[in-house]
Amino acid sequence: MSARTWIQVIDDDESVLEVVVLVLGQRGYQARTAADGVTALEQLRAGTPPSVILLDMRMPRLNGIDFIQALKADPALASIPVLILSGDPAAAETGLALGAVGFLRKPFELSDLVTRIETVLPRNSGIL
Amino acid sequence: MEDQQTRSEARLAEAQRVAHVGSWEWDVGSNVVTWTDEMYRIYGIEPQEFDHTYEGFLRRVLPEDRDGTQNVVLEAYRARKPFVYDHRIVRPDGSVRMLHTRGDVIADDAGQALRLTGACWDVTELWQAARERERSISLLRATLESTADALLVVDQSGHVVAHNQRLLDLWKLPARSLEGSDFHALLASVHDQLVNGDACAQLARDLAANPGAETFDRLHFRDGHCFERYSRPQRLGDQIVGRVWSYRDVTERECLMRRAVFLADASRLLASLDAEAALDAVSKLAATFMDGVCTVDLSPSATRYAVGSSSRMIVPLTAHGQALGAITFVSSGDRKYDQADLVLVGELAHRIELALENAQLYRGAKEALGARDEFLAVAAHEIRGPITSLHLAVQSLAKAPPELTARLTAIIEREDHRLARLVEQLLDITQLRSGKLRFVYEPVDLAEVTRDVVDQLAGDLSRSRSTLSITAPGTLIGSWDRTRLEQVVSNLLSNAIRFGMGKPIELRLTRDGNQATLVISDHGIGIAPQEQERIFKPFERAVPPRQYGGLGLGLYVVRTILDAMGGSVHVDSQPGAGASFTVDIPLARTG
Repeated sequence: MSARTWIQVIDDDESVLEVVVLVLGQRGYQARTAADGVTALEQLRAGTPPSVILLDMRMPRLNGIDFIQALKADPALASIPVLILSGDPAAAETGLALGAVGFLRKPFELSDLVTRIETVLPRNSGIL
Repeated sequence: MEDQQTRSEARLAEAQRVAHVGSWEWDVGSNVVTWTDEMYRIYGIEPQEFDHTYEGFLRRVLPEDRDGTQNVVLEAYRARKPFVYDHRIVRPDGSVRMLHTRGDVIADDAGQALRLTGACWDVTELWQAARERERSISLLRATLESTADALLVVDQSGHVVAHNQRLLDLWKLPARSLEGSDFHALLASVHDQLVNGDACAQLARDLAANPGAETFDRLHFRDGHCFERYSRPQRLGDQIVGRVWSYRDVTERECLMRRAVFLADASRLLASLDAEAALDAVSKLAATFMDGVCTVDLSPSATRYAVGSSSRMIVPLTAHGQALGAITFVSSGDRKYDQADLVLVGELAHRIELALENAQLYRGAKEALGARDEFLAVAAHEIRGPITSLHLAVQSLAKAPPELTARLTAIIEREDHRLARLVEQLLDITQLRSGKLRFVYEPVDLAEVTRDVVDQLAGDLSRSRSTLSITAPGTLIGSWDRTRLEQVVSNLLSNAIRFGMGKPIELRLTRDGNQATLVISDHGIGIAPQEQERIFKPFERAVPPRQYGGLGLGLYVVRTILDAMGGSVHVDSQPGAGASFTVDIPLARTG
């Protein structure tokens, strides 16, 4: 696995974070978690950008929509693909309009999550 | 010669009989009155019934006319001048005749009056016809003046034949007769008083081509009066000889109509559920209707003062005896508001009050529905978390290497519990809402409960970066329901952690007589004063749910439980300065 390929997971539900990290790890993806948008932005600005961001919409401090806007406004982060994982289709639709690349409605199938991640990952940055 | 004279007298007598004319002579000196035959017929007597004296004549004069008759005769006698007069006589059968008399005084060469002579016509039929005509005219005049309408009669040549006083009042004309005036000139002179003067004059002119038409139109005066005008031809036999115009004052009726229409329009506008827009539209409508400026002010102490305005009205708006605001009218121009205007505005105010009340009920219902919808969305979000985790963990389990199986199983168990707890909370809410929550009272150590809750929330606390300082006695025992008490402490502490912005949290537990007091204070976002009561209601929250998770029921649950256990909860907070929740709870239930 390429050292540059990692996934940022943002969700205020720590259980969801734990499971997603676990199942991604099972498939060889490294993941970093954040419980809200503010923390995530801090992490993103501090280190190497991830290959993809998995984003919940309903979160404390900075919600999904505000997070995407902040992300797109930051030239260093704007190009990172965002995949929305949410139970709220209306918020997801707004997120897609703001530039998110995809949306999976909670609860989603593990296989769907993997497929979507592989679709949005840069061709040469996958596993191997 | 004698024959000739006899024939001549006979012809005269015949002529007198046909013409109802008699002649008479009174020799003043001998007081002998001589009548021709026709005179006896006029008086209805035979010659032998008359004593041929002046007094005998006077006795047959109607008593009311006697003095007048004597005066005329005496005056003529003194002045030696011809005279003419009318007097009535009474025949023996009691019938009254009107006689017209012309006479002269015959004097001698010395100017001494010798006799009076003259002719007498029986003009009874003419007199009766004249009286009849006078009666008709009087009746017409009385009718003209007693009718409520203004009336004007114009002949075919366009001249005024008759009118009444009301017409002068209507046209604001000086008190003089218009008879003989030119109708079109009259219309032209009052043209400027009318809003629709041109149309009214045109209608009158058009009738020249159609004299048999009946017309109806309305006259609108600039002073606000409104008249309905009817006209129809005046016929004499088959011939049209003129036209009768009548004008009816319908100002009051029109005014009532306009007011009714205004109130109906206002009510229609006020039926809108957007109270603000409705009030705005009604103000505009009312301002136009009242020729002024209308303000609906919804502050309970609302008053308006307008310096220099000619007239103004202020009507308070109230609901259930409480002041809501006021509706104010300030007239522009010369309009002076009167009692009728005030009554109308009172009606309008009443409708506004009803509309405001409706809007408030609607808003309340809508907010309750909105809060419920929001609650359902939040509940769905809360449930979706554990379900997502469960779903992923279960799908991973089949292909998981042995070292992960145990961890995934633990996650599944944990999420299963979480889901069960959520469902329980939702059921609790249902019971709380229906008042069916059951309490099991037993000796419970509140200090121990508090420590347990702090342990349960340790993970959340550390993630929040807040520190928690606890001041509590070793034990604080009372008769309580342990599970419910746990819920109270847990909900309050969770809130402090969630809204504490990572700043220190203090928990203080004390016993004061027969009561335990728990104070949990944070230094986070705080709660605005206007939100401090609302947060204890179901589905309400002071923060947007998309930013802060939770069902939005925590404080409602806390208050409901404490109410049931005889305790209370209140909040002390300032936005940005944190919140301090104080719970007082008796050690044992009373009553």
